Amino acid sequence: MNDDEPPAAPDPGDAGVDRALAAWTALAPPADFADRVLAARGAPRRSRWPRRAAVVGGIAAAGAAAVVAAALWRAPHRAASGTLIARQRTSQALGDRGIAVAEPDSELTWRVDDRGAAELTQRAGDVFYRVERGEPFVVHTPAGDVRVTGTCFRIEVEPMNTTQKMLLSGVAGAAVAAAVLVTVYEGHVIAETRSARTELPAGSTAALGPGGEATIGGAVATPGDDGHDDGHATREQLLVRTRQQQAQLAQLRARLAAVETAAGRKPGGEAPDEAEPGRLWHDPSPERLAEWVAECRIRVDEPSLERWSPLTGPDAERGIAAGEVAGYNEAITEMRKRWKDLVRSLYLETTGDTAGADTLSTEAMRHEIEDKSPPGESQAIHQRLAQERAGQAAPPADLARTSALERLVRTWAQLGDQSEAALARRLGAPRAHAIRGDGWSSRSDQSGCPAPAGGH
Amino acid sequence: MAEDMLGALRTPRPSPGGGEIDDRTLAAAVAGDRDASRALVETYQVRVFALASRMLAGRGRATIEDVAQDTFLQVFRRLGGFRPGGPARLSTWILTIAARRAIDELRKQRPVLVAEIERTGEQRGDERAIRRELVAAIEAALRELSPELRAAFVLREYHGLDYAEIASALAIDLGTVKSRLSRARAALREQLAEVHAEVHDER
Repeated sequence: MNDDEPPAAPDPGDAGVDRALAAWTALAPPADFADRVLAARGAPRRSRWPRRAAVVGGIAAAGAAAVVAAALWRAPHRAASGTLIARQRTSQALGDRGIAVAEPDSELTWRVDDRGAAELTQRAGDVFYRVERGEPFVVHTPAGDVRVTGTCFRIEVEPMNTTQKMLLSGVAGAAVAAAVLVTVYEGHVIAETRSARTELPAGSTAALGPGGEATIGGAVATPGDDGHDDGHATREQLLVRTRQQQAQLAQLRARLAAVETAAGRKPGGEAPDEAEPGRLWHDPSPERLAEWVAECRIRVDEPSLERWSPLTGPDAERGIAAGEVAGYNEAITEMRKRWKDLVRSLYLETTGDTAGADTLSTEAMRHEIEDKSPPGESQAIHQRLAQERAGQAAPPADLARTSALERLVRTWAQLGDQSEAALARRLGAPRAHAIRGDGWSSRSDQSGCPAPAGGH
Repeated sequence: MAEDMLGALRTPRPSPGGGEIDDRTLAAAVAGDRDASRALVETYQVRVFALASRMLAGRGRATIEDVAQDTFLQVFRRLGGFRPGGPARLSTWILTIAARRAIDELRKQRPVLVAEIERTGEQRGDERAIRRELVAAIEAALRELSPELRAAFVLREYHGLDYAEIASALAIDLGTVKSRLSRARAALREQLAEVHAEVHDER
């Protein structure tokens, strides 16, 4: 064929489709993948509410303490999830995996599963994290993912002009662009973008750009990390460098102490979302409910209805005997169906999408309802519920006139009590109360107030 | 020529590949035997990665590895309930778990970086550039599909599951599977026609 005379382009047809499919190569598993799976499968579980694993102090000392701690506390985790839109500096426990201190205007959602794996999305703002060692802990940001083991770090999401197309999957037309700054105080962090994977040691900072680039800057070498040019440095230069390193580390430790004080959490202390002495987790005192009004915080527990599967035998952790399994399964199945039916009807009311209602999971339909609600509505609902729970406001006279999202949230907030009642009908109130214990398997703190008029 | 360049990509379609572990190894894995468990992971890991990486294209290696690992952890938790003599092969059963886990991941609506198609002078028209464009075309076509149908497409095209198996595994109506997969293939054909014409024009 003559290259100077381009022929008409033939339709690639099915053969072209086949070639394209052949061209789409898949990712191969890493060489140690089976080892990882077996290690994760065999890993003993950690305690429900472990003491802090990390200790503020020398980096090496903190690391050693964490290793000992991880070996001592073994028992199941409890699922937890939540959202936070901070209007002021706010401390938030992330289940039993760590704590976040969010500066004003930060937006954060999190979910900790029953294995302890934590997945967070930080859309905006400046958040400091202290993470207990254990299962994966990943923070998704607009510029990439940040994954850690046990460590202290901070993520700042800075809005930028849109310079690169970044689409929120499934939300056509929504464009987001941001640069993300990661600062590591202890341990190490892996920052992963579309095009770069960067391991950051304690004392370093990296900028993740909207184009997927990662730039390490302002690295602070730790004492003992002599750098690559020490062979050429004079003794005086080394002494100066050591003094600089020590000063920088002292600053980082001071910053760490400051944010931990702000979080109300001292070494060996209690996590801020633990139950008050003498009270159950899901039954906070009137004083605490009154405090939570300021941050529009509500607390909810429920038996993980959307991901629940029936018990096949006695459950020692929850104290469910063999003779109670059938009643327990029946009660939770009933609650699961009631929740699904409600979400489905609200989904239909919101979207009119009957095909989706027949194929989507309850969780997916719930997300759709949340996504289609006006900005700020969720925070307004949290505010009303927090006020009602503290006795500072009355519930709406006619719930049917409230929005779909409000009916969804109000029902969700009652799932814990309703599930206990459903169980009580089968096993009796004392057993239902005992099985719920200090909270069902999924526990969530939701906070974030509406933006003040004229504010954000 | 563009046609020749496309022709250079006549690599065989990835086959469903791999076999199945034998019943004895399966029983030992159910009993918690470490070597048998390792054999199970090593037998199916390539297929699980293949499925996860195609369904989750654009989400990064870390996410794909997490999904693959979660898949096998779920497999081990539920392995006692798998019936070796039942209608599903173990590979189909494992791929179903992987597909559902990947669907959950897709529903999270996490930010996905949409790769721009870059054509530098030195790369234009070469095999690598064409391959990249073909892959971009597939990914663009798949983005139009719901998570369930994206799973259905990958299971059908790369793992050899038939329509009934897919419909059963993903709890989708059989007719829907057929019609939507047909539409997905047509969309892909259209995308490829555009790529093909562009490459052809540049020659």
